Amino acid sequence: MRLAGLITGVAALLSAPTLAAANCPIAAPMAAAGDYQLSYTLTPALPAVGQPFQMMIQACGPANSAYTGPILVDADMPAHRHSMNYKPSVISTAPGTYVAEGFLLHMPGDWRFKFRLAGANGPVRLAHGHVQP
Amino acid sequence: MIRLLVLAAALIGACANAPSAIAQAVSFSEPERAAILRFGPWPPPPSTDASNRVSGDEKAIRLGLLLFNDPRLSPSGRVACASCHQPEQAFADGLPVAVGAAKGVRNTPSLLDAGFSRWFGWAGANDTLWGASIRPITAAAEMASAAEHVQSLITTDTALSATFTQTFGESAEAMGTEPVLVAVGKALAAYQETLISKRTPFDAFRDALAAGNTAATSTYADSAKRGLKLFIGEGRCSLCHLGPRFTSGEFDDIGVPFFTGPGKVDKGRYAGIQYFKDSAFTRLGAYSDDPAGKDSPAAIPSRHVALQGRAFGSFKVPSLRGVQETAPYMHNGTLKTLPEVMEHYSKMDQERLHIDGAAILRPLNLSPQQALDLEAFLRSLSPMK
Ligand code: HEC
Ligand code: HEC
Repeated sequence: MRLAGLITGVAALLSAPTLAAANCPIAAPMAAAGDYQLSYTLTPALPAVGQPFQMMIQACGPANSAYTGPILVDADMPAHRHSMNYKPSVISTAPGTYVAEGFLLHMPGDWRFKFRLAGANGPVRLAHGHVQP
Repeated sequence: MIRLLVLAAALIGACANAPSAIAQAVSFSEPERAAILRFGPWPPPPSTDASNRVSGDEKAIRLGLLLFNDPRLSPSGRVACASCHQPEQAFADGLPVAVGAAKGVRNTPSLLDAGFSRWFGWAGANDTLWGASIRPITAAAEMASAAEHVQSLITTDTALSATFTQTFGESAEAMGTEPVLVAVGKALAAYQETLISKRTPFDAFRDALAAGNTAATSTYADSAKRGLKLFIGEGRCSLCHLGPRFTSGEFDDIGVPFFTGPGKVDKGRYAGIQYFKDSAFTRLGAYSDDPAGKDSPAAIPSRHVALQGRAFGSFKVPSLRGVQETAPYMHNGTLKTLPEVMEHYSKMDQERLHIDGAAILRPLNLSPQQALDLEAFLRSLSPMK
């Protein structure tokens, strides 16, 4: 991980997001609120309904710095008013870079990934829509 | 071809005097076609269970078959796995609720294709097939047996004891009491993994659709096609009954009452998760043979399953393959026939649903023809006789 810190730029270009520190600010964030922004990718990229998947998250905080606090993640279907049957776990792999596992979407349709960061002035809630085919 | 059919149907529809038989020709849009293809292919590629070292092993499969049919596994000498999971009844029993050492509260599910599940039983109390095969041995209402009884049966019966030693490379006497019970569960699982349902008229249709073979798709009955259209469309059935087994493998509440007696309820998935978290016979426990243990990718759902209020009164979305053979229906066997199931979805009592259930399900108010069509589709999920 320390090595990855040294080669951040290169690693980001070579797409090794789990090892590289977040490249802040994120050019096209998937969710943003105040000073905070994030984007993510899924592994596998297109998980099937009922198939577990991982999420690689890049998060930035104030002054274009990598966010290094805790992140809670969840997913729900707002129209159906239910969340997942699983509670994902999150680990940080480099500054501003997190891997969450334990996601499993059990229904096709409109889901929303939800993130809670510990902001300087209290919780920061971010969300991004996901259409599960 | 499909676009041509759509066009033809549209033209015929526009013509007021079209003969009714032709006007009813059923066609599917591109998104519908994609949705239908996701119900296959069948059978799925063979796979083995890393948590079971004898998964796929010929000797274990033979031992499992012997044990499955052996009533001596129960202390009364009267209840075998096959008493409830009857091979000639698609490995179910035709009763509303199972009757073993005592009367139970749940319907006996078919064991065909059970090996493909992630969670086992109506409440998903187990995360492996071998764990789900140990559960009935000790369950009071099923075989009411115990590890000691199982070990002594195997050590005293010459045929069983020889097959056991050949399979596990160790005698039942030397292995220890609880490990023998687990080994028996794993042999039973190896056998049950071989119980795979046959291809159906729906599968032939689905593959023909995938191949763009219109001649072959036309042999699938129109009523089944209309039922399929409802199933993936207006009926919203495929929100839960999806994939090659027509199940998400997860849990939901569709308003089947869960009272089991005066003042008694079946907590469903809620109790299942509690049972799972207390069980030693899981992917997370010491008896898993997976080299990666609880860190195995196969154990990710087991590690992350969450006990939430909405699990209360939820039951596993059952596979619909072979559903024609497994009446009566639902976790408590309260619906006797497929028409009764259609009636349930048509008229369901929304008051009874959990708040989250209500947001997905609503009474479908099916016309008699629509109910027949849905039923025809469901019947096409059984192999031809
Ligand atoms: C008294 C009847 C009875 C007997 C005997 C019985 N079962 Fe079952 N079986 C059931 C019922 C009822 C369920 C559903 C249990 C639940 O949801 O709690 C079930 C569930 C299962 C499941 C889960 C299937 C799935 O797809 O979710 C498996 C596997 C299974 N039984 C295997 C066995 C084996 C192996 C034996 C013998 C060791 C056995 N059963 C003996 C009635 C029985
Ligand atoms: C919200 C998820 C959901 C939807 C939508 C849904 N089902 Fe189900 N289905 C279930 C669950 C869960 C059960 C078992 C309920 C129980 O036992 O309490 C079930 C049971 C069944 C059964 C009984 C199978 C058996 O072996 O007992 C049939 C048949 C069935 N559904 C067909 C349908 C059809 C047809 C539709 C669409 C009209 C549909 N389902 C829509 C979740 C759903």
